Amino acid sequence: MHFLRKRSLSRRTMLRGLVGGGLVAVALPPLEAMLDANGEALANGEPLPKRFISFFSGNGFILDEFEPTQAGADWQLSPLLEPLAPVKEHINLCTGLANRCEDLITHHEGITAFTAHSFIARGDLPGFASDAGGPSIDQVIADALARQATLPVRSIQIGVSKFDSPADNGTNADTHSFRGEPGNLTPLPPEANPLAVWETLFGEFVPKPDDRQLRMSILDVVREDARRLGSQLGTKDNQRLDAHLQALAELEQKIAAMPPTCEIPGMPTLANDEVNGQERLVEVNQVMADLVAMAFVCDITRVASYRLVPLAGEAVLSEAEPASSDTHHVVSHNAEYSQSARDEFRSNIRFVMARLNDLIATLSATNDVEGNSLLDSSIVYATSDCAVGWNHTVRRHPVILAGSGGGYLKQPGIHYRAIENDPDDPNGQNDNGMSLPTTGNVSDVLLAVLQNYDPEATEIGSGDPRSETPLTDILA
Amino acid sequence: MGASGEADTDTDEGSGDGGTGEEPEPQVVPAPAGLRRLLGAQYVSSVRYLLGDEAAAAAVPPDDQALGGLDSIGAAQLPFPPTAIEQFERSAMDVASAAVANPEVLATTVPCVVDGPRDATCYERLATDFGRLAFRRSLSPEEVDAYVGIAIDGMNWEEGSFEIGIQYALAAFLQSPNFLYIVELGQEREDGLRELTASELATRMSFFLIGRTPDAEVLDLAETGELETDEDVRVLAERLVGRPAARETFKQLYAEVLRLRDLEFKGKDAELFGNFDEELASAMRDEILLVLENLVFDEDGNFLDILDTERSFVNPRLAEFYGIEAPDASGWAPATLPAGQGRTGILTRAGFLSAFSHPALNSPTRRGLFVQESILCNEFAPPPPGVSTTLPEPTQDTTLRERLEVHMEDAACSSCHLQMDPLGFAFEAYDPVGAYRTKDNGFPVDTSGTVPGVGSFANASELAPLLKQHPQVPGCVIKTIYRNSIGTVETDDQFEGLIALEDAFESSNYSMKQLLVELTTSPLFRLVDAPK
Repeated sequence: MHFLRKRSLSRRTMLRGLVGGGLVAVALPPLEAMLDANGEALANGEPLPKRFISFFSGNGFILDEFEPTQAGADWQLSPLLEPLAPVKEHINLCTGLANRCEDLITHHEGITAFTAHSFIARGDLPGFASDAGGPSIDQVIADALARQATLPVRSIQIGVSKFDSPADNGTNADTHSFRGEPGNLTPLPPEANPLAVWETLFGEFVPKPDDRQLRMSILDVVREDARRLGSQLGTKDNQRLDAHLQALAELEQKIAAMPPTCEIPGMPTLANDEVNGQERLVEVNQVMADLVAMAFVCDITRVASYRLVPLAGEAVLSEAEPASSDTHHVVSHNAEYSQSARDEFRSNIRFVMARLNDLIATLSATNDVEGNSLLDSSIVYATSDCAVGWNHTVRRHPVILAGSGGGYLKQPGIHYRAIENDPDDPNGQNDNGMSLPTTGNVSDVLLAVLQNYDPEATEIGSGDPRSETPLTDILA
Repeated sequence: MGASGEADTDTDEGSGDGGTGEEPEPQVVPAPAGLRRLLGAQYVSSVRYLLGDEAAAAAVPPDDQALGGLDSIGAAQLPFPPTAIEQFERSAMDVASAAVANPEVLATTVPCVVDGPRDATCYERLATDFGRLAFRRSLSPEEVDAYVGIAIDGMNWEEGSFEIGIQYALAAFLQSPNFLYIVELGQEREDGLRELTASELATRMSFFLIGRTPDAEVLDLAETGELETDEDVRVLAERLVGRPAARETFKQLYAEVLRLRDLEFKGKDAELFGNFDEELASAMRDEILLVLENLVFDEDGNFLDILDTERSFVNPRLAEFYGIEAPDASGWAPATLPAGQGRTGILTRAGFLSAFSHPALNSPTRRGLFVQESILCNEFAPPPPGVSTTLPEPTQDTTLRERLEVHMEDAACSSCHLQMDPLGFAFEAYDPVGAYRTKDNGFPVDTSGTVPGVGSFANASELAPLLKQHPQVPGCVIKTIYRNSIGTVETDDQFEGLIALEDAFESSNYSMKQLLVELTTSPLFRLVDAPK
């Protein structure tokens, strides 16, 4: 037990009084004692916490084997979606919606399905380079939640496979999590080492000498240094310093936060440092899912971005069945003509879906302090960097949603199909729009999801991908 | 296209009336003033210099974030994510704790840490003298007070002591933006151009050439007005280039450029290449880096020789791989690679060939693209939208080359692939781990090719001299060094400065050591534009 825990009954008072009284109050874990009589809100009137995960895994799908034939409430999982069978009733699947990114650099446009902004090509950099055009859905939601409650960790960024594309770069290729405003974004890179994730989420709360006041004083001095420096810098570097200052403020909040009332999980033993082809992705994914679930239970954070395979990622999915021997990216391309590669790609996609299932099932099986499944209070928003691996089309960009987000999404979920795919050309390309029937805007899903966390939101994104028409068909 | 191509320029156009007033300066718009974050390796090396080996062992900086394929560009442009700031705090606490437990190195700067007096006057010396090294400039009285304040808080803490005061003050310095960023603001000269201050210049030179914060002695030079003229700068640069740390820093740079850094994590198909383990992979990397080190620092030879050198170094593991006799000792020794394998130049060595291939297949496209982008500095656009980037399934068994040649039949692909793939074909005599072969998929390999702007060759040994003599190569070397030195990508605004460097590079018979020195005296290096 943490040495501070015994003081937890008067935590809020304690917090206010901590280190000289200059601190903001920090949101506390919703103890049962703090629930209202109906268990539907906290005693102080705050709504029960809602959680969110954005899940990314690169290299796309095979649309005609991925999209279920039946739309509506009576849909069945397609062969490629079969690994999600254990959590199917929690899934809302959206197909046939267009990703309206205004530019194309193969794979990079897929990130628009997480931002509702077109990317910004970086012609000044070598390689295939772009920066994200705006903040990502997880960070827009984290901003909204931060206005409601201050948590020890604003959001966490998870990585599973470490093997990214050597050809793609720019911030847009490095992560699917971006914080800030268009033109002033802080990319938040995924962390693939479970020990580091544990440290970020729980490390602050293990017993140690209480030097918090000293650490706070250091942050004050450091902040003053940053302010002095800023007066001599230009706009761009001041934005960087602002991000630095913001991070210092959040670190301070975390230092000031009282330890959560949950059981702090032990530090994982898995460092995820295996070479390509020997990565233990099944195990690492499960450890990461457990860490996120525990962080949700402890109310240390309510938002995660989660990346299984990087954009155009070159992970060898050697644990797929049958095992893949080449990189997921190479396999996704060779699958266009080669039957053996098509088989390999199928097993890779099923492997990815099985890992998504593990994440969703972990949330489903874990109860929060109110005794409800975490999946009831969460939405997992999952998609890839393209719809079809080999031609990178994003004209029918599928999105998998899991969980109800606190009764917000339909449960059991439906298959929303914006428009039927063309059976004669189900995996057609971007440049031949008419061959691949499409309609709507994948950002409509983003806006619908956002409104669960920020009911005031009336739009999301910019340019062609912008949406002010949430997809209501999936709402409960 | 910057400095590639023509080599003549009229340096008389330079503005010779300002600044240090020796050579006329080429007219350039330098990279903007501002902040560059310390790279992870620079952070650890700086901690080692400031606080010793035990402290360095405790230093765990956040990961670097590359942009445009280079960490140094990310360092100049990207903001820190919150996790990095937290990581720096943790690292600072651990480093400070190790430094106080092992105070010998700190005591060389601040003797009272060991000798006393154990009171606030020592904290003031710490803030003043250690602070100057940490911030690479003298602290203002205000700043000194702030850090002394932390030390006194530490001493007065319930679990505090004199050492705890030192420890927390150190932890504070290591978290300050003045330490974590290289601050390059410059000051305006009489002619209106902005020049780095002497301390900023000393700092830029030190990080560039030896990969860490400047020595006390180097800062002294700057602060006493002995780092003003081009000659002053040249003398200091030569001294720094002569240090062992310059070798390591240079090797780190090329390990990044050649993508050798993470080679041991790349992983190859275990069934096909069971011998490719972490030990062999790191030996492959070290071979190329040793060849570079030997050429640049031991021999001060023509750097363009990297493209056609026959020189090699092997350890027993690598000797076995190449099929030559192992060196006597267990370590590294110069070696001659088997004559029939055509291993001319570093691009024919196992490290490069492994880095630029897939786990089970070669990638002539990637090998060729590297030559175009990183040896010749030509730029390529991504595949056009809607184009299938997939190779058709072969109708019958054939070589990878024959399948790739489809790229050349489709007009949408051929405009780029004609310039990439044939360069890669030259290396088809080596498999995905760089082992020599005469057959691919059971068919004889064809290593011949013709590339627009490069020429025709029968194999990699014939390609080597074509590349070495290519007029774009020296300029591309300069761009590589320049980009990495301060984390920027050149534009036409730097053209004259790059051309001047190219002239100097040529006159030195392509001495890399002299190029490194020359760059530090260039206005590209000494000047900055308005803060970004």
